[in-house]
Amino acid sequence: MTFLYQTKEAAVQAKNDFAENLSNIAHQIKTRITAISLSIQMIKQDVRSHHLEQVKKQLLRLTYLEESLLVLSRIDAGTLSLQKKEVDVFTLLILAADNLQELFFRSGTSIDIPEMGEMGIIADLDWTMEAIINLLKNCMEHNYGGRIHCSYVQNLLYTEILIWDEGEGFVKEDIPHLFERFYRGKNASQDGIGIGLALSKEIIERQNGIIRARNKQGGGAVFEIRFYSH
Amino acid sequence: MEILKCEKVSKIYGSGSNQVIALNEIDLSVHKGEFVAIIGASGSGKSTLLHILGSVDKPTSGKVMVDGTDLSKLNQTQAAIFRRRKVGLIYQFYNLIPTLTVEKNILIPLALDKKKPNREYFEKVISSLGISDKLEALPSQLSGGGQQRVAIARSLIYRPAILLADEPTGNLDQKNSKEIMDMLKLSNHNLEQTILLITHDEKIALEAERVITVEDGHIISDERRR
Repeated sequence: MTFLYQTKEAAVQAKNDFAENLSNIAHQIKTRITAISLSIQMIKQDVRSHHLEQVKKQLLRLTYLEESLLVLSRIDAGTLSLQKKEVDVFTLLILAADNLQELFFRSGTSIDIPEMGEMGIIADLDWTMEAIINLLKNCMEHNYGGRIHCSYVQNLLYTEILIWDEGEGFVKEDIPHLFERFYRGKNASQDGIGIGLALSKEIIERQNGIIRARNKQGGGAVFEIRFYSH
Repeated sequence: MEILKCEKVSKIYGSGSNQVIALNEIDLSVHKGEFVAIIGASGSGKSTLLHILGSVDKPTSGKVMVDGTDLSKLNQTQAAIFRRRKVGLIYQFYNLIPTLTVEKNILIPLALDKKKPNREYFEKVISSLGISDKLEALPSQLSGGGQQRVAIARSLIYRPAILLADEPTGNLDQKNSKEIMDMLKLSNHNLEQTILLITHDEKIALEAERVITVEDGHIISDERRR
């Protein structure tokens, strides 16, 4: 009887979460459409290229939102297929950082990925790269023009990857909610939707991994990822 | 002696209509002791080529032979080991371990193989790079140019078959850039080190004796200085 009650509780909670997510998504879409409408009003009055740029920018954000939602829905529906193979950690980090070369260049952010020897994890290279990219982006956004560090170790139980920056660190109240969908922290960037970290967590957890975030002693934020070998 | 050979090397990302051909059947041959610059705009495929030559990534098709080993046949672990012992990698950022001294950073590749350094060679490398007096310092205590020199020393410690440098001066001012280029040319002359330098900067590329231009995944020119 208790079990049935708990199941009902869980179902109600899930429905409420779903409704809340839908509401968040609607809000996100509305914000961007409003911005586009405003830009178009401005263009009617005064055709200057920067308004068109604004429209372009908002459309890009809508596209990103749409793509992220699709990925999340596939994850939820269990239809996201991960091709798990042996992946070298150094390769993973280098290729992920490579993807952000332009962004790093524009923001003046630098990244250190020392080679710590051969370490393999069983994972889908492309999706795990996505997960890492979102973490690196987060570090970059909160430590503009700063330095991001990576390190990794392996033992009999797990392979641990650390990604940290030298910035202000996380706002304490944000830490328990960082990986929640649509959560936007106190210092969130304007462009953020609040899906990046949630997506990273989903991808990592589906590959026998866990992810934690905390503030580093001495300053900066650190992401700790562990891929278990069992 | 041919130290590097690429035969119809291709790298393709994605599939169907979303396919991106980063490298399109590249053929390349480099001999020991050459100093080659590979120039191209971003998106030209030069970074992809670098990663494949450096055994960080694998080609979708084609053969890559470095010092007699076919890189496309290596599994991830073998690729990582090969990379440590046969390839020196220098990036735009220094990739040093912040908690280790300069000396320990330089010797890391050997330490990972539990090998002892050849002291004479070590002294030769650090003196030609001008960092003999910095061995006990931590990376954060050095300038950008200093850190890059440590990174170069580390990449040379195993006497790699090829040294791959990806925009090594990208993060440095003009004075430090010149110093680093001089260091690379020195190791090319004195240690007969084969160097492949990737850059988007024409001035840097022209410091090499051979310049290869990459565009849209193809090699569109390959010129040697007479």
